[in-house]
Amino acid sequence: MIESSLEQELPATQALLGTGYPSFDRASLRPHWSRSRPFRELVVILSGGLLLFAIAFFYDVFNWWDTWALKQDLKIWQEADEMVTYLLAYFGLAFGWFSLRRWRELQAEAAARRRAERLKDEFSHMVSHELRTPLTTIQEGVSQIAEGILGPTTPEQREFLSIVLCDIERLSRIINDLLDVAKIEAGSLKLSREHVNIVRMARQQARLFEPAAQAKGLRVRTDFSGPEIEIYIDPDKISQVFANLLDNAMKFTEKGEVALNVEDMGEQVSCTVRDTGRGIAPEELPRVFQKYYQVSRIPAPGRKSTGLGLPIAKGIVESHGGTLSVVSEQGEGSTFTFVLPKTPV
Amino acid sequence: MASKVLVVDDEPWIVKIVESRLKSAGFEVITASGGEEGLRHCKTFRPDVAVLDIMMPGMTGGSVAEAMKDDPTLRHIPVIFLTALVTKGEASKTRAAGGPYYLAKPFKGEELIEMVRKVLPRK
Repeated sequence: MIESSLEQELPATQALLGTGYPSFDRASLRPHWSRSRPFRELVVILSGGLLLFAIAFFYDVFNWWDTWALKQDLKIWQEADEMVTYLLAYFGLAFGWFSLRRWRELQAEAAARRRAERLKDEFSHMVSHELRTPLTTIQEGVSQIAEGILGPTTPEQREFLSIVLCDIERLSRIINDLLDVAKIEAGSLKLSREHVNIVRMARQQARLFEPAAQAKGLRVRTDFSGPEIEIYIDPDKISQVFANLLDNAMKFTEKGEVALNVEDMGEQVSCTVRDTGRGIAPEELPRVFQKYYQVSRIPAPGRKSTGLGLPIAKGIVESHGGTLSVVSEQGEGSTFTFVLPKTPV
Repeated sequence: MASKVLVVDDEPWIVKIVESRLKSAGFEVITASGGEEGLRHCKTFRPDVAVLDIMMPGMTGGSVAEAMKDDPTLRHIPVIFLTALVTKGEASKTRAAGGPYYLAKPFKGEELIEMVRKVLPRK
């Protein structure tokens, strides 16, 4: 079912990958019908038509001119008067017809938009199911061989199997990233907000990166404006933002430190990830939040990026009503800051 | 006696691999390739745990679970859902909120065994 509609609807694939379709303005799809653009246009156009009709009607019924012309028995004036009435009525009708046609057009546009959105959802469902199912058999099959459940293996075989498992992990990360991007783009990212202590969350995330930092000879410094800052957010999603930013900082820093700050600003909370890495060139700076963009890709084994970490982080922060920005100087390091409102705006 | 686990999935390879993993952990495994067959096996073999795929043609894992809830002799059997549509975070959250047990694909063998052991009724 899903496959066939995908074949018919290649544009949905393009829409997902951001190659073909223009991105849609979600605001015009507000569920509250009276707020929609087509409705407002219809009201304006129809009331215009109605006004013309009304003018024509009252002109005919209550006009002194007509009575005066009758009394004077002036044929020409009566005819001119009728002409004006008919003209006004015709204009009113034409206006109404145009407005109806425009209304239908706008409705068709909205339907096409909804269809594209639905196809995007279908596509991400298909991706979820059709990619994750084989990934399960691959991962589990290789794991079971590597663990020796299915018979003894040689050390060389085990080494290769562990490489395969590493790359399966990587593939699974990429699939998750792509699905996140698709959800963010379709505006269907669901937030399950909870009251959490963001300081505790930041500390946990920083701790996760400590082993990697030690291996590289880096220091992870944390600085919080207080021991507890309560905020109403989706903890999984914001943890992901911290992780993506810290991961980037770690990747591009060879010496020095990665610093994580969380500051209470009253109505908002500001979180900063600062590194002493090689920084980002000014011409590259505006592009770091673009999908699939990778700042001078380094060939190295192990964890590779998909160019989706920052766009996802930005999407998550913005869906919380916050902002994510970057300041960087080449050779000095980069600073990523995201500001979140404590309660949804 | 080893605990019996029923595995239902329309993907034969998933069934095979789950079966092999469960057997290595010392479980007795009954398999089915569809919802209807799974429900029949449920009635004949009386498993201790049922592992059901959600997205199956015909009878889905969800409707199998509902049919089991309606049958007083099968009501007590705990169910674990296999799904590709839920992420790991969401799965643990629904569980924490008192929802059903979900195992998000791709799952690891240890996670499967751990979850089966957790839902297994104490004997």
